[in-house]
Amino acid sequence: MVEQPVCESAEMERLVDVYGTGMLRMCCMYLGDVHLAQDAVQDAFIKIYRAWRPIENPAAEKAWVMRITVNVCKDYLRSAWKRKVNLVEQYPELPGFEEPKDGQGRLFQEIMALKPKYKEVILLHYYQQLKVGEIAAVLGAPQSTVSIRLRRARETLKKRLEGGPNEDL
Amino acid sequence: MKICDETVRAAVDSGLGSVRIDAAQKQAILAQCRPTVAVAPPARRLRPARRALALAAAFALALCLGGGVLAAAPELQQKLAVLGEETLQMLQPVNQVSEDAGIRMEVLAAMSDGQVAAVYIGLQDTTGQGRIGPDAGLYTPQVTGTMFTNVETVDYDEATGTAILRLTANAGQQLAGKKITVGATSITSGLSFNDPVDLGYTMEEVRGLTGHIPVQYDQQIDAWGATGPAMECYTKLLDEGKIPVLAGWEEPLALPGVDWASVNAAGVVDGQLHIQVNNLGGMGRANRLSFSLWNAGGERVPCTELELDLGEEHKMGTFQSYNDLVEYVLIPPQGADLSELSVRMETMTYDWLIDGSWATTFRLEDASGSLVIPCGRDMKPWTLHEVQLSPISVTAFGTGEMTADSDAADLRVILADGTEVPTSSASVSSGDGSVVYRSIFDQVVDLEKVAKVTLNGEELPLP
Repeated sequence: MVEQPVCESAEMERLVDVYGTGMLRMCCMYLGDVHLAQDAVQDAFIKIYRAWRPIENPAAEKAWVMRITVNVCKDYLRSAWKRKVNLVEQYPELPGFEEPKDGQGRLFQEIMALKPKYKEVILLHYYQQLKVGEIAAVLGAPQSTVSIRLRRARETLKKRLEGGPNEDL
Repeated sequence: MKICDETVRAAVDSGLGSVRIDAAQKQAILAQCRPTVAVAPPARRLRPARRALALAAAFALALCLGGGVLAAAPELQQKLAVLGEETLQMLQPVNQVSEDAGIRMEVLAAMSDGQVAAVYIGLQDTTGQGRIGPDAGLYTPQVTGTMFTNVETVDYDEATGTAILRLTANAGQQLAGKKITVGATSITSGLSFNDPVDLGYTMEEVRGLTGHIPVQYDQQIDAWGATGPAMECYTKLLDEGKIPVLAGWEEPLALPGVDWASVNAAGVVDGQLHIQVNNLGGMGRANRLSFSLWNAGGERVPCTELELDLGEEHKMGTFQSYNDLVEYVLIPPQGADLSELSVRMETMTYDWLIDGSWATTFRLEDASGSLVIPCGRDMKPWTLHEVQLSPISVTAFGTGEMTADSDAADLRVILADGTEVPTSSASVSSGDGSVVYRSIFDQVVDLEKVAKVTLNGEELPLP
């Protein structure tokens, strides 16, 4: 059997420190539930630990971590008990929804209201600052698909922020 | 409000400012991420009710699988040893081989509970070139008659260079007892994210190198990506067809260390760096490339970046594709000294992208033993009639119509050791008066070890 490189405790701690909070917020946005997001982050770190290998390029490491995080969130969303849950109804439980509906709070709400496939590209692109090619690798989707989703998500956000029609993507 | 890195980050960070990994969560994560020593569990005495369940399940499995279990196939047992003895006992040995391009794909074993199939395959390079590594995968997986296929790596045997993968296929029709074909047309291995390579040019030198650049507007741009600051205004220009693209050179320029793509044209237009890249196919179908600008201090300069797909899109399998002509545009911050901005290239590459035709057809045995739990529940307005638990999935069957206000079927399976069975994928389907919720497990579950099944938090009586 192959000898899997072992992720030392210090390295694991570094990964949690560097990516933990960002991953947790990503999962919150994805899943619309803080407690579920905490479970997802824990699952993601276990997968990271099991599959860990040294990656020297920080951008590549981030893309790898995000790929695992997104896959875990997708697994959660795909599961039957999450799939039928109306995220739009659930996300007001998030702390951000206690904020007034203007400026940043408004943008936060509109991002949350996007469908998952649009929300994920917005989060990966702007929040995690991944490039289109990296997002394509993370999502296992063609770059053209990622680009189109980004454009549609942007257009919808813009329309909604300008008070335009509430286009349901 | 602009939609850009800064505003989205500020919105998320302010909206979720109180959401962060605290010390207790960090400790919980780290506690689970440390090496463990496997200890054989002590023999467990089952409660009478559980014994009856275990006996029934074992009897059902014996009836279904007969003598075909993997226990009778020592070679397969060895290859799939990582799954554990109990799982092996439940799998149907297949032992079908398909070989092409020097890659041997062996369907080792399978299991189906009806509409879901789990298929274990081994990949091995028979040419001795070591093309199958620990991260080998099916780039274009195909399982006939299924709605989606999930592929994950189970194990890698370095001694034989064999990667063991698990394909999970969810079909909208009955699979058990029928012939299915499992295969792929492309296999990848050896994914690397490579460090940026300095191309030896500053933006100013690119301008000087190319002189007058013929540009074209209103080109057909099928898809594009845009990132970085000031992106929004370029989005508008793209939509209006006001972004110029370069006319190609007569002779393309090679990129260092890259034989799957070449520079078709490069230049500086209105202070924007344009690099048009020809994807030559081959490894370029799966590899990815991008460019960036770096200052004299060796720091990456944040730029607005555009990716313009100008060529033809080539499909690979069901989900993958690539474009054969892409123009990358980097727009540095205003006032930047172009003579100090060096151009670097970044790549994501595979060591191997192997084309071929791998396919094996075999008959899935009848559905594995499963537990049927009758439960008439009003799910408003549809009715859940029964829950079926198999070693690879749990499914709720009902009738009626689902509405936005219907209750969800929150099904969970808890094992005797208190752990919940993790799931990797699930589906919900309704139509023709029927409703089906299905979750597919990440592992094969020994039904003897199921302690309880809950529906929306309420424990269901096991038969």
